[in-house]
This record gives sequence, structure tokens and C-alpha cells, in this order.
Amino acid sequence: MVLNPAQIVDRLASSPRFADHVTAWRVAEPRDADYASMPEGISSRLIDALAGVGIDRLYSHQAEAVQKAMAGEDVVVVTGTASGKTLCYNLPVVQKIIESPESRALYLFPTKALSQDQLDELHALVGATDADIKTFTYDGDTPRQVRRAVRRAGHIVVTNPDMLHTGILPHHTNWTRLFENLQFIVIDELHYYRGVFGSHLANVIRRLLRICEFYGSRPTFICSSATIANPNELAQRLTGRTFAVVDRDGSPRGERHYILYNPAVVNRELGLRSSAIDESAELAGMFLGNDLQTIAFARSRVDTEVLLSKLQSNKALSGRRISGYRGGYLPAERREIEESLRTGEIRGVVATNALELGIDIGQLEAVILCGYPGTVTSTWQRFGRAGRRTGTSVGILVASSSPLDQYIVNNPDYFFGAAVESGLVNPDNLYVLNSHLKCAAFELPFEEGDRFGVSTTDSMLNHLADSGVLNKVGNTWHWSVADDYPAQHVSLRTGSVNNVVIIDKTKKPRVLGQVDTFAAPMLVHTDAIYLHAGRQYHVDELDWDEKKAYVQEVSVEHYTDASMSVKISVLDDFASDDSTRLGRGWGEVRVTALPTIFKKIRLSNQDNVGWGKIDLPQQEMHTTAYWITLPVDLEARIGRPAVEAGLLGASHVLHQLAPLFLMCDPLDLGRVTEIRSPFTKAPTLYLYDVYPGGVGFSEVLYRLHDDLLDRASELVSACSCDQGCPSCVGPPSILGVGAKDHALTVLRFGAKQAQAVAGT
Amino acid sequence: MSERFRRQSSPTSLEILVPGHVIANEHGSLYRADVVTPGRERRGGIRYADVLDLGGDRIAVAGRNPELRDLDLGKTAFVDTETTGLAGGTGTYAFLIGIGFFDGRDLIVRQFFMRDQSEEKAMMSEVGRELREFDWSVSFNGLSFDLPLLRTRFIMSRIRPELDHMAHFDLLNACRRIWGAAPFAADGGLRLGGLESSLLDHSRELDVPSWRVPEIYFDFLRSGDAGELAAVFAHNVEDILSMVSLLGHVDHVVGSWPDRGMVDPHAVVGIGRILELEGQLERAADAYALALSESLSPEVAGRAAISLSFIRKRLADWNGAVPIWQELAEGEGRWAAVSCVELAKYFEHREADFGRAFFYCLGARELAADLGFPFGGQLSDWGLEHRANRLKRRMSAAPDPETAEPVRPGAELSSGPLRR
Repeated sequence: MVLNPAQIVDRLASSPRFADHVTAWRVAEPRDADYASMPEGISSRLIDALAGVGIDRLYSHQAEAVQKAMAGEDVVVVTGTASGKTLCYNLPVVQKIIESPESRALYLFPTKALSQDQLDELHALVGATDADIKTFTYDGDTPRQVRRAVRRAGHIVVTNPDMLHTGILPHHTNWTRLFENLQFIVIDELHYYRGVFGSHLANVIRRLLRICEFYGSRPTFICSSATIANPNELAQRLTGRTFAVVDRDGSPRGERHYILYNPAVVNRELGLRSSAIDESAELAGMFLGNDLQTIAFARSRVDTEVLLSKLQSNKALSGRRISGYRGGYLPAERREIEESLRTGEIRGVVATNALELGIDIGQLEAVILCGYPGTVTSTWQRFGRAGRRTGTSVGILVASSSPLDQYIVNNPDYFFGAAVESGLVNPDNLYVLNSHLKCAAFELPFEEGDRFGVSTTDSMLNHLADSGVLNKVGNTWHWSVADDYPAQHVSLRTGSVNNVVIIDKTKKPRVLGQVDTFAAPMLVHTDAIYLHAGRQYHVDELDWDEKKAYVQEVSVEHYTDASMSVKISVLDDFASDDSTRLGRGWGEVRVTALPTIFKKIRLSNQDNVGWGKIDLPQQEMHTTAYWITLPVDLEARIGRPAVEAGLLGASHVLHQLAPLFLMCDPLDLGRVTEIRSPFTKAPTLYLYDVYPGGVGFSEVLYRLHDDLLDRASELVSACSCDQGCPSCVGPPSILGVGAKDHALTVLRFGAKQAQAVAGT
Repeated sequence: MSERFRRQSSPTSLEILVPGHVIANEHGSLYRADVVTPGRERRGGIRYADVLDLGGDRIAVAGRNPELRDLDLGKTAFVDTETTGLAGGTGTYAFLIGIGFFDGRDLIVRQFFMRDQSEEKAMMSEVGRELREFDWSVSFNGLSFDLPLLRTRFIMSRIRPELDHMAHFDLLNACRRIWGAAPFAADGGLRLGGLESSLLDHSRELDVPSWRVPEIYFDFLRSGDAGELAAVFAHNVEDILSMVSLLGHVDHVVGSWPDRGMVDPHAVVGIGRILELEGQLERAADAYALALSESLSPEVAGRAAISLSFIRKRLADWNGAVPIWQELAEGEGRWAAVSCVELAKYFEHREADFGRAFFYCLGARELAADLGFPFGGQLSDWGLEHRANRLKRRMSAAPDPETAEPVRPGAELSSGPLRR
């Protein structure tokens, strides 16, 4: 018998094997739609067109956003997945163009794939109005012959930040119609623009607004975002404007269950829990077995593939189409999967964050998160993949043993409270700002007193003039480099400029997929097992110079896990402070990473079954780091092994916990420990931004120093293990006996009340 | 003020090396220099003053633009810019803008120069005023470079772009069409310098290489030393003088190609191609035929012959087309393959001679295999396979071509008699 979602929920609740390990179970009550009347000023032609596409009234949040945007207020809409956000910007834009056909709008989507999806809806609306509104996509794929027409006649130009940055702004004189008449700038998926990408975008927007000012336009911003703590602040940081926030969601929804699930401890001594992948596979299997359309999110490519193969080999599910979905798949493959999810032909999908963005796959019935996605925001976004307008849906977070997962499931109030993270951007990152200042000067000369984000604009411009990039004449700085185009040197998404192409030689050679250069040494080094679409491939050769990896399909019982040797050296300290309970510092560093060995790990039980060397060049990066120094004499007091173990253990928990404050992934931060740092001359623990120039993470961590240490020591002392485990300071097999105590000694060092505890 | 003073007192100052004047307008000041070349002087055997008397008919053909038919050289501006780079975008400046025009029978090159970037607006305003006087403009690569750049500089200076009132003739585009097949065109031969030496028999002494121009300007901005800059002014004048002569040469070639031996046969092929595109099929066929009777490089000869055969096919002149295909089919390579296909079509649909059609079809298949098909999508494996099978069927259905009924024309042929 097949159970419906509500029955499955009942069964889960009454099953001790499941319910005993639930740390929190919240139910969002079903909600009726809240409608509002059509805002004034929407023409009857548009109202008819809306009726034509099946919309005869608006949800309250749509009406509110449309009203504000039409009144020229900058708006950011923060409502749930599938709440009809696109109408919030399409309506005012189309209305404006109907009123005055010379009006223009610019739509920015973070990726090309996404813009295609959202355009379908716009086209339907425009088609129904029968107005002559031309919508064009302008990106790397736009044919040369079409570009001229887009520039002259496009009412709505849809593009992405990269194209705006290299293709449009430096050629703004070709776009005079657009810039003279620009009424609206739409930024969809605002929350996506955080970290390094957001910092770049903020500067691209500064350039854009400078150009608008030159042509005498002052466009209104309409942004939409997933739930984050600071939509207003993020929008403000990205655009320099003040926003009205629309966040009262008027769309209807069915009952939704959100469950935090912590798999059972199977080895208390080692702190080992039952595998999150196994538990997720079991839960997903149950949902799929009852024919609920289910999506499981895994945190890495490897986890995705392992989970997928477990589901595909589950005999009870035979005959149901279950697919993978992640970054390495080719675009056509992905489009097919999306389409089959919408039609319901695919019943289950195992995905990475590649599916996190607003790519339309329809609404599913169950979501399993295999491991905490890293941020509260993306957890809610992924949960949002399930939930139709009526009927029950379920989202389950299956915690892994990592400290962050354990913190989340054991502090459900933190998760369910208002404490979603802030989107952090650092538009004034010197590296980012300076590179865009050059682009801006290329686009329009600067005059004394012009401000580009920061009050120090003049002195930065003088600096560029001193180095010969600009020429100052009178009170104006002009671009003065021969034969140069500065935008082409600036990538908005550092770290993924070049990709390594994976070529499958099993039969006729074909391109299997690609990985970015930074990840390649870990994933496709020679002799790695690369997983793609549930199949295993052996990497026969990684040609580093050509950026090609040659693979052949194999069937083996193991996967591979690569290690890197990372070294750090401090180039400059921006701030340091010895008055805190452990010394803290923040500054510019050089990080070198050398892939060393890989381990072969058996799929069935995670046993280590062999290893090999990786022979690849070292990679180098300049970035910013936050560091913690221990007293120099600590070694004399507690001995070198204790200091080493304490440092390692503390760095493990801090590295895992820091993302809690930063809305970033643990992979966005690196960590290094030094028993005696050549720079600080003391035992030192570093956390660094894994982006050239830094994104601002380390600066925030420097400020949060005490808070960070408190949370870390709380987590470690509350952990139920004896000697340390992956959920707190790391496994004792690596750190040695007593590591947990040593790490606590480090984390509590100098804390007043904590010292008293440690003394008992 | 002190900076200007220093410049003026320097022995290498602009005013000494490039005689001209500082002029002022409502937007500021700029530097202007006029270089007069007497109309009786010549370059490439062409007297400048004779260019003044040209009509527009032939230029309109070379430019494929009927607006040029009324071309009046007395109201034509030759435009050439010296810039801070080729990278494009709004950060590329045109710091020296040369406008050549006839004044009486003499040629004047008027050069507008910004002594630093603050003079751009004054300069663009002056350039705009100058350009308003003309109805036509001529450039070398202006369509993709100089004109868009000038438009950008006008916009950046907030001055109305004074460009669209002039019909434009781009010499580079025209020369590409005409001499693109000439042996000298390879390896940069179509650059202005290459055309000067190949067509005008002219070589420059002590010329500044173009790639150095941006750096020279920035050096001047930094040092005020006009030593090298003077050579850039001279370079700009040279470019414009060559453009005037080249215009005369183009006119001459378009006018005299029918006289055997007057024009490089490769250029005649280029002109044939222009005429073909313009729909003047008979004249185009004459041009190809004339060129083929002279000495052409084998690749160009093949292409010209195929072009000629297709024109004749369009004109239903089978007696003219078939021998060309038959000759080419004897050879190898792409044109042989194309010819075999055409012969296969011809013998199937025109002569109903399926045996010979089949023979050529097999030949095409063999040649195609050697070429590594498909090229151009014109001859796909499938098409030949399909044709061969159909011909086999037809051969067995009508074994005797003499008694066979003529077949209806296939899709490939839509006009002409079924059988001669």
C-alpha cells in the first residue's frame, strides 16, 4: 500500500527508531492565500493580459512590491520559494513600457541557465499584452548580428553580472538608448551575491550607476531574495540605495514539516554516528517507495554520487527514475533532468547546491538534506523545494558528525529562531575596489571629489596616476594605458576562471564534464576515482598544462580522497591585539597549497584500503587571514604534544563553527596551525579566506574573536564523546589521547569563569 | 600655466616640429595643423587632382552602396584617426584626427590634436564642425574602427555625433573584396602599408609603426617632448594621402577590368564576385571568364571556374557549364567533388543518363571521402548515398537511356529545358 505524505509523517512520528533521534520537529500550519486588489496605475490592457495567463488577482506581497516599485521606491522582495516573485518585477516593468515605450529595463541573473527559466514567464506575460515589447538576452552566447538589435531596440535586456562587467559597461556609448531611458534594474536571487561575487557585483553596480548618471537616468531597483537576516543591508551594500523590504508572504501553502534528525551514536568512544548518507538513503528510499517525488541534497559531488548509487541499487525502487544533478553535468543533461522533474517523470533526484538557485523543477513533496548545507539560508531554500500549495510536505535534515551539523541539530532554537545569517559582502575590499576603480576610470573619467564607494577615492585615483594607469589633467583623471581593456583582467568569480575538462576515453573520446582549476588537484588527479552520474571513472592522466583529465569507466569498490599540504606566511598585519584572552590578528597572507597523497577508501565501510602520491605543482594565493596566538610559554607549561594537539583540535572546531557567523561554506575558509609561527613567534592558528584578496571573512572573525572562542568551547564541552570526535575537535586517531582537554585548554585560555571550570 | 611655458621653451616643442596653431572655442583649446599637398603631385601614378574629378559609379560598385553613385570628391572628407589603442571601449581615445579634403585642386590634411585629454571636448566640437561641411566620407577600416570610435568620443564629450549625414566608403572593405584573392593579400598584404607597396608602388621612409603610436602619445603627455609625436602627425598625413591615391586606384580598376591585361586577373575575380553579389550575372560571368583566360593561382582559378559554372547553371547555359565541370572533375579536391555532384545531377535530371550520373556520383563519393566530409554541409554523405541508391533503382528500371522517358526535373533544378 502506498502512503500519502500525511500518513508517512504519522508513521515517522510513531516509529521509535526514527522519533528517538529527532532533536526538533516543527510544523508550519497551512496558510490561505492573502490577496490584495490590483494596484492603481496598472493599465486595463495589462490586467487583461494577466487574466489571459491565469492571474486575476495578486497576492498581498506582489501588490505591495508592485505599488512601491511603481512609485519609484527601491524594493527588495523576500518571500518563499514559488511565491510568485518574478511578477513583482515583471509587472511594474511591463506597465512602464506600455506607458512610455522608450523606457528600458535591465535584468540581472547570476547565471545564464537561470535567466532562461525566468524569461519564459516574462515572454508569456508580454505575449498576452500584445504590446511591442522586445526582450533580449545579452550574454556570451548572443550572436554578433543580433547584438546590434539588442542595443538599439531591446526594451528589456537580460544579462548576467559578468557580461555587464566586460561587455556592456566598457562599451556604454553603444547603449545610449538603454542608459538614457533606464527605469528599472532588476536583481534576482540577491542572496546569491555574497562573498567575493557580491563584493565584485557591488562595484559593477557602482560603475553602472555612474554611467546612468552620465546619461541622466536614475533607475529604480527591484530585487528579490531568499530569506536572509539582512536583505535590506545586503541590497543597500550592493547598490548604495536604501530599500523598502517586502517580506509578508501572501501566497498559500500546505502543511509543512521540518525535522532535524541526528543519527544514532554507534561508537561513543570515537563519537561515531551512523552515516548520514546511509540514513538519508533509507529515508529517501521510504519516500520514493511511497511514490512521493523526493529530492535529496548532498554536500559534495562524492556524497551525491554515493547516495545516488545507493538509491539506484535499491531493489524496492526499481522502475522509478532517479537521477543525479550537480555542477559537472553538461548543460543539456541538466535541462533534460529539470524538465523531467517538472513533468514528474523523474521521481527522485540527488543534487548538490547546483540546484539551489531558482532553477524551476516544480514543487516536490519531500526533501532530505544529507548533512547541514552550511548556512541557515540555504537550508531553508533547499527545504523550500518541497511544499505544494495544498497537501503535506516534509523536509528532514540528517546531521553528519561535523561540529557545525551537531551544533545545529543540538541547538534547534538557533536554527528555527530568526537567526538566519547575514549575506556578507565587502565592496571595499581593496583588491576588488581597486580593480573596478580602473574599469570605472576606463568607462568615464573621474573628477576630483567624485566618490566611488569610499571616501578615499581621490587618493586611490592619485595612486593609480602615480603608477601611470591614469593621467591627471587639471582636476580630472583619465585612463591612460595604451591598448588595454581593464575589465578583461578582472574575473567576478575568482577561482573558476579556467576549468579542467574531463575526457572519457572508454569508447569514442567525449567530454564528460569539467571541474574548476582549484578543485581539480583534489578531484581528478592521476589515479583518482571520479564519479559522474552514478558511474565510476579512473583518471588515467591529468594533463595539467593542457587542463585536461583523461578518464575511463571502471567498476571498483573504493573512492579516493586527496590531501593537501598547506603553508601560510604573513605579509602584513592590518590589526593585532594582545589584550584579548588569546592574541588575535588579521592581515594579508600568502598561502601555498601542494596536493600530496590520496587515500583509497572502501565504499561500503569507509575503510582506508591504500594510498598513492599526487604529483602536481603547488598553487599560490594572496589573501587575508585571521589568526589566534597562544602564549609563547605554553609549551614549557603543558608540553609540546599537548600544544600541538590543542592547536589542531581548536582549529578543527573553529573552522567548522566559523561559517555560522559568515554565511559561507566551510570550504570558503582554510585553516593552518603552526607550533611556532615565524611571524608571531608563538603557537598560532590561522583561518583564511580561500579567495585572492579576501572577502572580508577574516576581518569579521577578528571582530568576533571572543564570541567565537566561547561558542567553540561550549560546543566541545557539551559533546558527549570522551576523547574528542569528528563532531568536536576531530577524531582521537589523529590527535592522540587527551586532545579534547588540550583543545579546551586552548579555547578557554584566559577566560575568567572558564578557567575556574578548567581548574576543577 | 608653468607646464605650458616649459613646453613652449623646449627645443622639441610641438609648435616647432608640427607647424600649426592653438585654436580656441567655447569648450577650450586644441591644436590644429594644416598640411597642403599640391594637386599636381602623384602617388602610384595617380595625380591627386585627378581624383577630385572622379565620379561615383565605380566607387558605388566597389563599395556595394548605391548612395555613393553621386559621390562628389569636392565634398568628401578622408578621415583617419590616431588612437591610444585598438582594444576598443570607452577608454580608448582618438588623440589625433586627420581630415583630408580638396581645396581647389590642392589637397589639405587638417589635423586636430588634443594636447592632453582635457582638450578632447574642444577638439571633438571642432571636428564635428568640420565634418558638417561634407556629404561623403572615406576611410580605411572606418566602418569597424574609426567611425564607431569617433561616435564614442562625440558621446563622451556630449557633442552630437556629426557622422550620419555622410555616406561612407570604407577602402579596406572594398580592397578586401577586390584583392582578397591576390597572392599579395596573404600575411597582412591588405594593410594600408601592404597595399601601398603592392598597388601604389610606394614605400614610406622613417615611418612610425602603428603599434608604437599609443605609447608615443602617452610619452608626450608625460614629458611634453614632441620629438616622436611629430612622426605620428606625418604618419597620419601619409595615411590620408595613400587613401586618396587608393581611391583613384580602385576607381581605375573597376573601370578598366574588361580591357585584357590592364588589371591583375585576381582582382578581376574579386570584381566578378562583387558583380555576382549585385545580381549582374552576365557581367560577372564575363569577369570570371576573362580572369580564367589569364594566369591565376590554382586555388583562385578553381574557385573562379566553379563560380562561373554556377552562374551559367543559373542562366541555364548548360553548354557553358558542363565543360567546366568535366574539366574540374578530372582533377582532385573540393572543386572536383563539387563538379562530380553537379554532373551527377545534370546527367540524371537533364539527360536521364543514369549510368553516367551514377558514375559521377561514385566519383564524388570517392573524392568526398578523401576530403574528410562533410565540408560546408553542401555535400553530405547522406545526400550522395541517397542519390547513388536512387540512381541504381532508376538504372534497373530504365536500362536503356535512349528509350527512357525524360524525368521531371529534380528539386535542384527548377528552370530550363529538359533536354537539348
